[in-house]
Amino acid sequence: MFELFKVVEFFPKMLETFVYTIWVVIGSVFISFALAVPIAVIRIKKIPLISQFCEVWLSFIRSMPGILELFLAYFVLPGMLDKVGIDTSDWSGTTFVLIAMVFHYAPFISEILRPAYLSVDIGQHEAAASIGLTGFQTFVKIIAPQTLPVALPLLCNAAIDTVKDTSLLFTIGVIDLMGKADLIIADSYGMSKMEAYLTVAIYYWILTVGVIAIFRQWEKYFKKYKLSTGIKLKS
Amino acid sequence: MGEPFVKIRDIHKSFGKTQVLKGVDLDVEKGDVVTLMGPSGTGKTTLLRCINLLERPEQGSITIGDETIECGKLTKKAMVSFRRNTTMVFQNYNLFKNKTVLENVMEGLVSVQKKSKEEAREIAMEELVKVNMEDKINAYPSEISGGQQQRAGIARALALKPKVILLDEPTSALDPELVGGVLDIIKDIAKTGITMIIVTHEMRFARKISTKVVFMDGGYIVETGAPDELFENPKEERTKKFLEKIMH
Repeated sequence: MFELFKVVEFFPKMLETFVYTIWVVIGSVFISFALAVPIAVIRIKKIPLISQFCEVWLSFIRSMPGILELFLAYFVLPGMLDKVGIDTSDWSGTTFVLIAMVFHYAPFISEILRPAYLSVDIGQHEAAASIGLTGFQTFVKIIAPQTLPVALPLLCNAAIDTVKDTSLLFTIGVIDLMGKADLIIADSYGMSKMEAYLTVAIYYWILTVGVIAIFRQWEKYFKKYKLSTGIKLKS
Repeated sequence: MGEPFVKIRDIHKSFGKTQVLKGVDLDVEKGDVVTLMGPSGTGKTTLLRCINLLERPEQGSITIGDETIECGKLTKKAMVSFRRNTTMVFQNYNLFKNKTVLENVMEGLVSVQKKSKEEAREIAMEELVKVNMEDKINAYPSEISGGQQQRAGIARALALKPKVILLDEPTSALDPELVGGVLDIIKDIAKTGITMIIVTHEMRFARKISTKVVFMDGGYIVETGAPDELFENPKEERTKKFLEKIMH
């Protein structure tokens, strides 16, 4: 029997976990992005050794399921760090979650930024050089602002993937939305599965719609450059 | 007369196995308007791009004013610093797409010459008025025509008051009816006494505004002379043939 009032009852119970999930998503996306920029630069400039390392890293994370990376971070990494004298026993589960997420998404996002960067016309680089801008000034003032609008739709997808990957956290004992649902189900002796999962679904939906709304807003901001040379969509 | 203002010596540039410039020497005096002409693929544009190091010559030296560089050994820093002697007007305009017309002209003044925003805006406006773009200052490049973009490109190059302005086929990408307007502006600038080096196929225009015409072929400078002299009485056979072909 489906009882709607239970959804209303469960909703506030999951709020705290929901907020936690938001922080995990924000943390993962920001740290991954911050690392993805230098990784993309290394790969574009083909800096010897590090760029090959990044290629192997990218190939690795592309072929590994998220849960394996999470297990590696949580079960294998502490032993490795222990050998070099780093004690991880007081690290929180969230720390390992962030490590796993960033390990996966940093190279993944670099592979979004790299082609977006390369899509900027060479003439823009040359014009910047011709007025005497340094390489760094060119990147910050001219190239990056033209790279971002191209990358945004795929960055949005990556952020949504991050949202869904948080559902794996329960496997290492961190209470995420799925974990919280299981706890609630256990509390009701397995009677409220449908209501609990529906509540989780609603939270994921809110989170995803929120992510999309933020990126849409951002895309709108860049529309003023009218960079697109493709077919014009009806507005 | 002492040392020339711009002194280019023995410039060699190859792309892969193709040697495009095979040892080019060129002198330009202060205030000269020099036109580079010649058949396509002879290295005119490459030579122009070597002067501001968008292409890096393997060999040779370039002097502008009192700064000299040896092209064989150049650090990134030296390249950026030497580049600031010149600015360039591009065939495809290459306005910064993420900046308005005014911001395009202000960029170098603020970022390179470290002028205040107010001062940069004042200088930029002055240049934009000169090229009749004062009513489009807040437009993005995608919102204006090619002719307008090129005029903004010229303003961007002028605003920095470089020692030399390089113009790379500034009208070849324009619709025929827009060419005249842009050429008129370049003509006006030429009168102000700024040193210019132009690659162009607009022969009548070149003849009218140049103080010196350089004919290039096959990676060499074949002949150099005053415009009337070179157009009327070319000394070299190759120059004659080229002029016969294009002056119909």
